[in-house]
Amino acid sequence: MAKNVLLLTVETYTKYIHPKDKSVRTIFGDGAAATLVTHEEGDPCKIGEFVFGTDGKGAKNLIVPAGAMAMPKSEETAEERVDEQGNVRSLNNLYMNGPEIFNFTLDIVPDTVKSLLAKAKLSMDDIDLFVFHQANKFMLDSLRDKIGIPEEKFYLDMEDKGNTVSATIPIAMKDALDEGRIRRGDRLMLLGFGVGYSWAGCIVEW
Amino acid sequence: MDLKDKLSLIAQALDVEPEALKPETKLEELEEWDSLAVVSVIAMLDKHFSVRLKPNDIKSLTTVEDILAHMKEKEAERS
Repeated sequence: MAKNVLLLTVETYTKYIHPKDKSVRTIFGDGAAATLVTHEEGDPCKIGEFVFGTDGKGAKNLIVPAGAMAMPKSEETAEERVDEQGNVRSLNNLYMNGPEIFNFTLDIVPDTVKSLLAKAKLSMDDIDLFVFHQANKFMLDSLRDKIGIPEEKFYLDMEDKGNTVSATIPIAMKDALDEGRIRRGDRLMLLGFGVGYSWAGCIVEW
Repeated sequence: MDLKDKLSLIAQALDVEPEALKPETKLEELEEWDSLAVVSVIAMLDKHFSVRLKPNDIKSLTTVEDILAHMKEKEAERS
């Protein structure tokens, strides 16, 4: 169908984050990546098996409630409220229920790793590097620990950047490449999860 | 697992000294009881007791005893 796909992942969440909302201001960052996915006969790189999933019951836990068609912006949606933790936001701002999202990832991510390995007929040992969506360090540490991935096989890229949403995986892959963490012939597992809820994973042979 | 060990696990999750915690300690009186503490407790209960806190459970956590209660349930189930 296509030999060259240019995938653009661009996020400017800061436009939606209320400056006095610590629950999201401390987590997210603006970022962008342009990824060329290309097919060449005889090329060693392969994109392998995928798993996908969505669950709409999580929609309300990570959302900008107002601004599109279901709830257009208005004077009411712009009214600021203060939550129990002292964070300020309106319906025009990004809202995230951290504990709920965390629960969701603890449920879904280990199972997705298992089902992707089963689908690809691989074991954990066959994967050279796991590159997960770089959501936040606490969540990634918890997931790594729960799934039982050794630290040296689990890529963390949160030192100097926040959660850049759809750009985290391509940015992490670029950084991993630059650091020599990905070499020719390595087998990677890429795994994203979050808003929606939605999640997907794939195997890449580099 | 005895009470001392459980309090130690909670203290680790909350990033406080174990001596600072008693079952009757009110969570909101701890400076460390913030959104990160909540997810740390979720992670601790999931890892050590295979217990998952539901939204209503999280809201109803007011004292250390409330957290301990979740640590008991799983043990009862396991035995």
